[in-house]
Amino acid sequence: MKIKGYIIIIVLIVMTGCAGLFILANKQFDISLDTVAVNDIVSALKAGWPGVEEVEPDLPGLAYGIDYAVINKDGHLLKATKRGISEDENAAVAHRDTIVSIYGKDDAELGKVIFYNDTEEKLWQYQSELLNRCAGILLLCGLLGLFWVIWVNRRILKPFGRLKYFASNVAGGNLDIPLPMEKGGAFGAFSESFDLMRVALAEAREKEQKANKSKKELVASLSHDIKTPVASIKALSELMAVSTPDQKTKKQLETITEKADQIDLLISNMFHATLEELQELKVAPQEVSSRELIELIKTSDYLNLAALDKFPDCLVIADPMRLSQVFDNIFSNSYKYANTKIKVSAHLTDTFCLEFTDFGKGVPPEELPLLKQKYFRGKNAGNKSGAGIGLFISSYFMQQMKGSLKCISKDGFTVSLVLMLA
Amino acid sequence: MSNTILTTQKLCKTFSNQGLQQHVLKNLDLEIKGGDFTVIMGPSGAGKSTLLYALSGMDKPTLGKIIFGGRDISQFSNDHLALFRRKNCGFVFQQIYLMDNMSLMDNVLAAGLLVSKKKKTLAHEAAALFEQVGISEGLWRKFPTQVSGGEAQRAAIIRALINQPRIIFADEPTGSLNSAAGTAVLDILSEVNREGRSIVMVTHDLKSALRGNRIIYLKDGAVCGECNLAEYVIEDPKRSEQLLAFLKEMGW
Repeated sequence: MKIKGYIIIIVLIVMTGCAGLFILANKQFDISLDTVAVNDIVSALKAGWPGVEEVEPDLPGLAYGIDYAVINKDGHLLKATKRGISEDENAAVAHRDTIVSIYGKDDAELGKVIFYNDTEEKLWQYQSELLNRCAGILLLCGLLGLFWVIWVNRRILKPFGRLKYFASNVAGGNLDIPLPMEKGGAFGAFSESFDLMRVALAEAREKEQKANKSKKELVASLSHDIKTPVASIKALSELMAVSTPDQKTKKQLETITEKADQIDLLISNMFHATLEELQELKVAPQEVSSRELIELIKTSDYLNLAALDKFPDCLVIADPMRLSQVFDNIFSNSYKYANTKIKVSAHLTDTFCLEFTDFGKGVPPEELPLLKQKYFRGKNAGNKSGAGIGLFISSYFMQQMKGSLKCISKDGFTVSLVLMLA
Repeated sequence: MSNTILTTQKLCKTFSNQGLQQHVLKNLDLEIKGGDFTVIMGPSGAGKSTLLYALSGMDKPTLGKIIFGGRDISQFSNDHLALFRRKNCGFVFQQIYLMDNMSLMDNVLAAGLLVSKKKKTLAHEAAALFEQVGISEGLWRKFPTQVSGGEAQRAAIIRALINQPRIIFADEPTGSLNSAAGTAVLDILSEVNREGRSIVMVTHDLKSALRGNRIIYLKDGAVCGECNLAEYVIEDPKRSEQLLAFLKEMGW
């Protein structure tokens, strides 16, 4: 597992947070008063004294952005840069304002300048700026975290989900559905080895099936071959029993006929047993809501090629496990031979009718009636894997659910399933 | 198609218990006509009450549609459904369900005031109805615990009628009553039906079932059979013969 990527993202988040903290810490809180500006204003006021209180000209030094009030030596307000600032000495002391006296030429005091203490405003400004930055950093960290979660979901959780579905398919004996590869993900080699396992399993199973089949064919042909000599024995012994005059010999010949009959019956049973092995596939129909069918179809359609119409709501009779095998078969056939979009529609009459239509080449009309035959494979099968047994088993399942399966080849290939209503 | 007021399309109700599913109603297609007296019968567990609750909008179906007066009520929200029930449906239950701390009259008015604001008119209507079912003024001032079961059930029917519903749903209305009181209740229901209101009644009782024009026999959540008794009058012995023959055929 490549752990580097995950670590890098976490480090990135932490670093973003640290950078944010650093930026926050770096922001100085400056409450000093500009001495040069103060001196400049005081000397300008001195130069203009008296006459400061006149409307024109304006107070000097407004460009510095410092608010102040000028009072004369009796403590009366002459002029202020704005209203609402400290206008006498008492108020100024209470507000921690800076008071500078203005002296005339003979060192006599002309008046005072009260420089307004704006620390409070600055504090507010500082605080809101701090808040803004904090929010920005939090947002950034949150976004990165979200991105990380999405990434983990895509790279780890979803592949696990796929693995789960894959395992259930393999466990259910469906070895046709591959595990999607995760190129470059944490699961790349991992999922590949799982898929290899599936392929190996499928091959082993196919071999086993072939071996089984040849064994059964041997039994079938043997039992067929044995039947002929047994029939001869039977015929001869019957003939001899009729023609012999000796009672004892007659009885013995009848015993031979009887035993030959027994052998014949045993062979027939064996012959039929090999042929009827399919009966072991048990189907347990029950009542299923049509909404559950949608879920079954969606899980079977692992390439997401199906476009589902709205299904009419009702209860149908079906075996969900067997029906999903039928769906799997229909979809894997379509993927194999058509590989187009698949239209799935349903309509309700006295029965529930499901139609799967793809837009591939379809099947030539002369092959259509043979599709549901055991071991039949169409001409288009080529070298595609398969045993020609899928539709045969599907059709058998549908019959056991009291429904039916029909194949139609017209503008693509359509499989039509009919289910009974509960 | 004459005045159909209630239809169901593939109505299904499934109860789930820890993943175990029980399909109580299966693909029911029913049609109930205005002014009909429909009786639903069937063995225990056939889904009779479930069907009644689904039809009346007290319970939502799992699948399928219920179309009441042209509107699909299975899509309604719970609040919308409650308002709808209040205006269009009346209910009568086996357990009567009158409020014990209110007089019979107040019980009826409580239901009426949910829809109409005019208490005076309502009281007049209720009084007329009480009179019609033979409950005197002295009686309707009493509390449900002070009157007999039959009288309480008659009051419950008036409560169901006070909002002029288009249809009345009755779940074994005579189940908890003795024979005479049961007959009185059934007489009222028949009378209400004669006035043109539809009734859907679930019952186990043959005498109750005889009042219906149409008997639906439910079995395993599906309609097993139907019997039409509308051509015979209630007193006609052929009516009960027909019903008995039908029930025998259904395996009652």
